[in-house]
Amino acid sequence: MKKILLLKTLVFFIFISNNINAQKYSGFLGKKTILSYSANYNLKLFDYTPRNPDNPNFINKTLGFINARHELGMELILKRDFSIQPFYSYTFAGADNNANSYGEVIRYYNFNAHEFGIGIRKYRLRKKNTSIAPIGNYFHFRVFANNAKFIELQSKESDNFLFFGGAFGFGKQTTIFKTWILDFGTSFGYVQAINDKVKNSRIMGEDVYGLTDSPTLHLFTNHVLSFRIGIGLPLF
Amino acid sequence: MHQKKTFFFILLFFQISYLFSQNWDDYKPLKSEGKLPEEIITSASSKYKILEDEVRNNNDINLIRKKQRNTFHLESTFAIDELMKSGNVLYNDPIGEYVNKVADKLLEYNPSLRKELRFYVVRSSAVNAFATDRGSIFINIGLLARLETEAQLAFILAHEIVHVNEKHSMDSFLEYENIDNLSSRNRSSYDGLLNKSNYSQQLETEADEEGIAIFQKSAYSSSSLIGIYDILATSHTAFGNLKFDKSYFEQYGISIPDSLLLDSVNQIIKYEEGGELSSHPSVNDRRKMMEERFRNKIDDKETYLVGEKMFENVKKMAQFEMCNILLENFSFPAAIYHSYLLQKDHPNSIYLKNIVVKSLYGIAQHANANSLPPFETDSIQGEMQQVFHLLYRMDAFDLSTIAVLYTWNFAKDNPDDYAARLRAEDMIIDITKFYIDEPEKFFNSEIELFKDVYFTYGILDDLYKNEEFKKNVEEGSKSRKYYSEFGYKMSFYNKLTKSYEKKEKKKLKTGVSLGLEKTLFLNPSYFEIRTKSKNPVKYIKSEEKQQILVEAINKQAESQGFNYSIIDVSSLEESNGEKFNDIVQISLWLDEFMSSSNIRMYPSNHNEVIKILESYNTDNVTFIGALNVNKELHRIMSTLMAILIAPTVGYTTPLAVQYSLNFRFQSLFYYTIVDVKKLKILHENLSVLKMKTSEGVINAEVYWMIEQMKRKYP
Repeated sequence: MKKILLLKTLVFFIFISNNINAQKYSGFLGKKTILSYSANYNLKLFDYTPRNPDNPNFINKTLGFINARHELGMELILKRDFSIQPFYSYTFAGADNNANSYGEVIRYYNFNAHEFGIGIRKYRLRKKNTSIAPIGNYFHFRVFANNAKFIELQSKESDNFLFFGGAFGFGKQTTIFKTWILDFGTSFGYVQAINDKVKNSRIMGEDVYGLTDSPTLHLFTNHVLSFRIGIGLPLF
Repeated sequence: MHQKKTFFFILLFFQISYLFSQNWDDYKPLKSEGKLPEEIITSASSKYKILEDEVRNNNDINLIRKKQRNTFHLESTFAIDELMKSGNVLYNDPIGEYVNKVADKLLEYNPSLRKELRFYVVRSSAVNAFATDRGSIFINIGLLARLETEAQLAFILAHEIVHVNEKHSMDSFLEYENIDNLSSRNRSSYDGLLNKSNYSQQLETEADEEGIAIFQKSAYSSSSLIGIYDILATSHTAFGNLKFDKSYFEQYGISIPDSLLLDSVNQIIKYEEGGELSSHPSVNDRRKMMEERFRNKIDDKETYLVGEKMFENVKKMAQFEMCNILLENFSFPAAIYHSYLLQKDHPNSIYLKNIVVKSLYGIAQHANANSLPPFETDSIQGEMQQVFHLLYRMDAFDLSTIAVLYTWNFAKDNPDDYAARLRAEDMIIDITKFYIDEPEKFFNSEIELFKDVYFTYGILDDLYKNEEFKKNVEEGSKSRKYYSEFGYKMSFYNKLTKSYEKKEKKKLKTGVSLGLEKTLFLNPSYFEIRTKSKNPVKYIKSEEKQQILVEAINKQAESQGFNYSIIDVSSLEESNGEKFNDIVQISLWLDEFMSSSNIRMYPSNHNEVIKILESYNTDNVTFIGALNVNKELHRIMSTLMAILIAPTVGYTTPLAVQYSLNFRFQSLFYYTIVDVKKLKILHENLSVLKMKTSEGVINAEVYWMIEQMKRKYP
């Protein structure tokens, strides 16, 4: 059901991007829909520090002290200097219960978070700047919902958490290989848990080892300051 | 091969017979003819590459010298290329053919040297000739219009040949570089200038002396050579000095009061070039040197070898051409005075009459727009001062009155001249500004001035019947009245600018819908600029990338099914002589049109351009260009720095990548679409992006431009 809803939403956006105000904007070589992938890097400040990150049970292999959030987006250009961008992003990490000091059995968790959201981009920030979306400097603002999940690796028990957040930032898109689009930018964001599952979860319920606020912290660090590098393919 | 020779002789025969059979009353402006020379169809980069290879293979000079030479070759090759493609240089024209024949005679004793040299005529009113290291010698029309004998021309050619032979331009470049280096170390810039001037004067003296040697080997007589220095000394005045008669303007009922005229004009003072900082030695010194050389030497050689009549014809052609050049440069009083000089011998010349009419039209248009330059007529010497004084003393009304009468009558006499009719209509609309209180007066033919025009010229009749035109004139008069009475009051001004700003903002956001059927792209240009470099324009890269812009236009116009033509001076072939002339005419038109931004006046070659555009089946021309500006000097260094810093502050990697790719670039993309028939800029655009002008960016900009051209208002 969710997937159908998502599909419908996408079709709706593509429809409006191609039909409303058809005279008013150009797009990139006439293409007004851009499929993009971007990696959002952030520093692992308050993040999990698994005691044994090389454990084969962990699914994540992040780059040293850098965390990445992978994002798939669809930029739909509505005006010469304005576009909207529904997106989906995914982040994952490994964690343990950090129970060494109590001599208990170490439990390993995998953490992953699916994020759905929509953003707007405003190109042509200054009067003299004559960007034609999707090329040029832009300001963006986005809101999103985040469904994070903790999975205990042995028992496969899991907990879901729902977050809501917003972010804004600046960036620049330019072209590469004639027809591809390269995206750079920064983003400042904030996430807020909107249900009480964080504290009352089954796995976290027995948590006395400091993991209680982990999902919040993890997602917070993911969004508070991130740098983006991405590539886009104009579709139609 | 044989056919080629026959063709050449036939061509030469026609050229020569053209010189003899010139009908001055029906003079047609000069243009390039026949095949284009190889110099213009070869790219500047490939010409430079040959020179660069020569320098590289020269083992006698050290690396620094090699670099200096390459810099010289690079700059000179591209500068000459630009000149040759600018349209100011004529190819296979009758004057050029004549100059070449004189060169043949001059160098009859040295055919191998003759083969290395090429002579061209430049459409410039300056009294000058110049040479390049690679064997091209350029003679200005302004000089040819003043020469007295063929032998004088031969001597000037000999002087320039020395410059070529001795590679003076490269020597002076290298010497200047050294002087600059020295001055920056321990001397003042004044010393530097002084040294440069000394060196340049040395070279000129050398060219004079060795030029005499070349000249003496030829069959030309030296008897008239001294006159050259008088020509140089009076180069700041007109090519004649006939008293100006005010009755020249007293036609169609105009009377010029004597109070508008000067009692006496400035005497011509011979200009003695020279002095500490001049590039040439003083004319006096040069004259003396020449006199010493030829003192008591009476030769029995000839002053004319190619032919006196031919020389006189060439000189006259140059003088006719000069009037047009002055007109194109908006030197209206000078154009009128030079035409006046020629009209004494050729009173029925339509060409000259047209120049006078166009000049009066131009000066009236400028006066009406309050953009006549503040001109000190005191600086003009000779009888020409009278014309300057008279025209600049008159106010806008007087000038408009004269212009309206001249333009209307010229249009009446030449009904086939489309632009003449337009100019006349333009002037009639302009003159209404002086009847703002009672615009109906204009139509009630109460004004004596227009009675004749009104009843005899059909166009005005038509206009009178045209209610819309009548309304326009009345409304135009009212608005002019409003402006003149209240000026730009702040409240109104604000309102005006606010609404204007709003419109412009909307235009920026949504673009425009021009609904064009077709356009003609003229000379798409691309420049690669590095602002902090000593030589900011990167010529070779610019030329390479220019092709990307042309390709982008082709690709994007075709993808959108837009009808277009491109005429590009850098991609011409030998047989594209006509195309080249088209480019020259359109460029001239645009130069005139764009240089008078607040004045809407028909450029002097409006007829020609309309015809050209008809052949391309369009009314509008688009000139388009892109710039890539790099604001940093050491790109490699800064990129390395970024790469080194990135790992230490790991998560800034994307920023480092961005920095190394395009942080310091600025991309500019501009185009202007001009409707030639309506004399209107349809759309102007300047995009500024803080990124590198990559192929993708160019394509995106071109796509957007063509989309706006093509789409129509819904």
